[in-house]
Amino acid sequence: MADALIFATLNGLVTGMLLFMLASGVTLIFSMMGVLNFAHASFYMLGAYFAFAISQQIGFWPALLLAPMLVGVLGALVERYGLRQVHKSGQVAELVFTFGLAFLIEEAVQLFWGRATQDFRSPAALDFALFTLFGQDFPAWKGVMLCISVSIFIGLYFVLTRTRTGIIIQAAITHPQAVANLGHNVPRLFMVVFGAGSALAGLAGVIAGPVLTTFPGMASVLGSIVFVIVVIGGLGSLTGALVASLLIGLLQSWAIASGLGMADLLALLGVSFPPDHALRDLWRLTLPQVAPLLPYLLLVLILIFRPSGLFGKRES
Amino acid sequence: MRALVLWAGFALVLMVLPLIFDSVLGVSILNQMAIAIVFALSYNLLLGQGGMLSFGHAVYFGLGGFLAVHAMLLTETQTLAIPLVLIPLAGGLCGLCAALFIGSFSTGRAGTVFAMISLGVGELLAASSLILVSFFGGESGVSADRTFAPPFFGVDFSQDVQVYFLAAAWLFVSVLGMYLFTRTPAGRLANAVRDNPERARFLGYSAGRVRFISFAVAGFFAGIAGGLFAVNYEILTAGNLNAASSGQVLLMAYIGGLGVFIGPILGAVLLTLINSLLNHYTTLWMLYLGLVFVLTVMFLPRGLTGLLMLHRVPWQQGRLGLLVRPYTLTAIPGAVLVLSLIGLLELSQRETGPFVYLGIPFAPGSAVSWLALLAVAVIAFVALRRTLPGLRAAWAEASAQSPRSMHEGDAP
Amino acid sequence: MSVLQLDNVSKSFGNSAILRNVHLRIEPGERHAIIGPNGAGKSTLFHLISGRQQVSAGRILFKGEAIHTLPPHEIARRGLARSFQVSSLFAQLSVFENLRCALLWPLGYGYSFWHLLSREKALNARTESLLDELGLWQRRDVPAGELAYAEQRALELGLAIASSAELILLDEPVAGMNATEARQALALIRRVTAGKTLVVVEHDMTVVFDIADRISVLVQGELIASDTPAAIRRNARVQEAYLGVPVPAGGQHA
Ligand SMILES: Nc1ncnc2c1ncn2[C@@H]1O[C@H](COP(=O)(O)OP(=O)(O)O)[C@@H](O)[C@H]1O
Ligand SMILES: [Mg+2]
Repeated sequence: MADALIFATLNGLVTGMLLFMLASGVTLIFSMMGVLNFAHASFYMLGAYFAFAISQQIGFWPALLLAPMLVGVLGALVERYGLRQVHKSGQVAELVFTFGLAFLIEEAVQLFWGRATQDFRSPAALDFALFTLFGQDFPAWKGVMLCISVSIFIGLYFVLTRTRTGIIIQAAITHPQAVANLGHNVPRLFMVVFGAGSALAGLAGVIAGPVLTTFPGMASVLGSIVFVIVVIGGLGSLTGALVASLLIGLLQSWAIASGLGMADLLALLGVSFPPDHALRDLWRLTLPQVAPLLPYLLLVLILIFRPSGLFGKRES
Repeated sequence: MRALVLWAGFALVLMVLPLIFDSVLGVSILNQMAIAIVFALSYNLLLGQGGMLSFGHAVYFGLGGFLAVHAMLLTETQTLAIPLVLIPLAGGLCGLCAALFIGSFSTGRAGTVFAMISLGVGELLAASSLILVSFFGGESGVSADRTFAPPFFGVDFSQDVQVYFLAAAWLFVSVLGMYLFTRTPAGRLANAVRDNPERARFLGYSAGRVRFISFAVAGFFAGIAGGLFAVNYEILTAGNLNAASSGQVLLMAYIGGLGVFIGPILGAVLLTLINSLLNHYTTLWMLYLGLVFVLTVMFLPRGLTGLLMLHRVPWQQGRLGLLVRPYTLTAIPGAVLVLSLIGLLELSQRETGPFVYLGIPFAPGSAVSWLALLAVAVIAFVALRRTLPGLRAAWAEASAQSPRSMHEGDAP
Repeated sequence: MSVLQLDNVSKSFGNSAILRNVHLRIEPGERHAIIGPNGAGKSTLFHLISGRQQVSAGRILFKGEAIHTLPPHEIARRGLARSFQVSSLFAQLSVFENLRCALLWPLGYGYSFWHLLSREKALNARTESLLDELGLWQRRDVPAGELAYAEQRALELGLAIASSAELILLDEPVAGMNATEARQALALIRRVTAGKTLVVVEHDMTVVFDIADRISVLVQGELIASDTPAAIRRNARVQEAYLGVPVPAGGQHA
């Protein structure tokens, strides 16, 4: 039991920090530009695919650097030539635009790489167990993932609190008008933030691609979860995004590991049902089964009872 | 009077269509169109009329459809004999109930919060549909046989044409119903709340209540569309209520145009047509669809009908003729450019064998084929850049208004 | 009984107190003007009365009943209508539809989905007479968002008065209009609010002294005087509050 718990926690941490790399970008973009970027997870997917293509040519480590940069440039271009154009038509149009973009990127990925899963692997040099606990291996690559995402978190924190640009960004989050009035080039700032957010998502894709498999559906698998996180944490709150990322990562990981079922729960209460009862689906439910549901349930509940999220100060 | 003529004309068209397109494929496409139109119009009640961006409208379509299949199964097992013509109504009522429940907590806010709740509910249901096997049938879905239903005046609905007339009748009733709804106080207030919920409140209207009513009506008609789907295909799967399905209806409504009542109809007709025809020729049609969609959002925020509506001013001023020449001049290089780009994309997808495109054989992997298409594309692009300014100037001239209204148009 | 009664009303945003202990009584049939420099809190006062914002302390009674806890639509239904300083219209709807929307509740349609608007003769006749009264007849089919500034202001006024509420709050109804437009708008306001209670925020002193039979002066969130126009003119605190510059009788105030 203890070993399962420790591993579930470690895996939850890895997933949570990975989710945060995406959620932080969505949060920054939302708080500055008022756009919930549906295509954010698509940039994550592009990161994985670009890295896969590059690593086949010149190896994994250059890809780790080049792929996120490429994705970042692409993101900046999308902001400059797409989103800015749509901005005139209002918030709904922007949301619909990013939705369409996600759709388009998924199709484009299939155009270039097909529908099949790509054989994108972490570097062979890291194919060993970082440590072994209770007879279970913890792969080194997951350690690297954790290192990278934690350093990104620290880096982000540093940039936002210690650099000039970061402080302007923070100001623009709360008082966009005031920042524009101070003479800062807000459109360019938007482009930079959008590009940087996309690059972060791309990096997340590079490191997650080998573990979570690189296939055309990988964006939609993660995309909705990232939204859930951003909403639960509170739209526009980075702290909230961090807490919610870890929460969701750990919850899912524990739920899957526990293997508990409704039947166990009912048995605990001394209740049992005939196997052909009309509601049989309900108590055959197991936690691993409902694990994918939990985030959405949480999302709906949060939006109903506390639309500003756990840490947020404002609604939409 | 004019309205009566229009509706009679609509009914007549619905009657005549299966006589013109009487092939198996034709009737099958007509049935799909009828379903898509009802669904897209119901979506427009939310987004176009009420300003609610939903990413989960397939929930009501799907639930209505699943209930309809179960209703058909009841008839099949002879528990309850429901005439097939009433099955879509059962779907509609199911959609209505679901919308009443979900609307009760989701319509309090519009904008991003509403969109997110709709997304969450959609994902929740899509995921549950794989778990709750007894109602949703798991991966394989639930199927029924419509011919078990008691015959309706001797019609047993064993043929698709018979189903078409059932669908057309429901289509007519639904389109009429939704059109009339937009002309009632509740429908008009939905527009007002879309434009300015705050002001509506100060006039005595609860914005949430107004949205709730539209939401319920939209759920009802989406359920009818789902019921029609059940009757037509006799099967529903989890794919009918998932995010992709919700995305499709958003695409239809948006590409057709949200501003005008017939916009989504146009979108549904076009997309169904493209979907079922292009499907046979290319594996890339979803990519094209995505491109068209993104470009529409960027350059035609009011969709295709919006583009048509732009011509109202030139038309009223009798200057539409000015546009014919520049339109033709731009259309030719434009079409050539699009076709050559499509050719390039398609060529990239072929690995072997001659690829015959527009009657011309191309060879995948041959540099000549690639270069030829590329050259045509570049030439067309250059030509387009030269004809565009002429079109722009012609537009300015054709749509120039009298000085008085120009001045007012410029005012803040 | 007063139509409107504010007892000890305060409002603060965070740490900054915007309104402090405001007491105000408005009697039936009164035409009351509220004046004060920019940022004094006049619009905020209207927001509190109409339910757009919540009071931080104190209470507001309308016809003897507490309304400060009600949502805006409930307050509006009790017969309190307001206009906005910045026009707040239904941009995509035509002028005609804007006004018709404002009439649906007062005429008892509610959220009906069993009436067809085009069939409701009385409703449409009321809308048209309102259009006529506002001088917007020729613009009836133009989307509100495309109107000229003065026309938007006229429509804004139209939405406020459509319901024939007992108490009408107008926030700077003629600001930004030229002299002719302002004169017409004032005549209109006087005509349509006859027999009702009117509270108006206005900057133009000519207008204020012309229209009001009582004036309240709000300075930095405090109501420093509430009296007849003549008394207000003589009031030393008011003159001082206006930067020490005595208000010339009937003169313009920027
Ligand atoms: N939502 C708000 N948050 C913080 N301060 C506000 C808010 N609304 C108004 N204020 C402040 O309250 C003061 C009064 O504003 P307002 O009532 O609009 O003044 P007036 O209408 O008299 O010109 C101003 O200083 C304004 O900055
Ligand atoms: Mg003001």
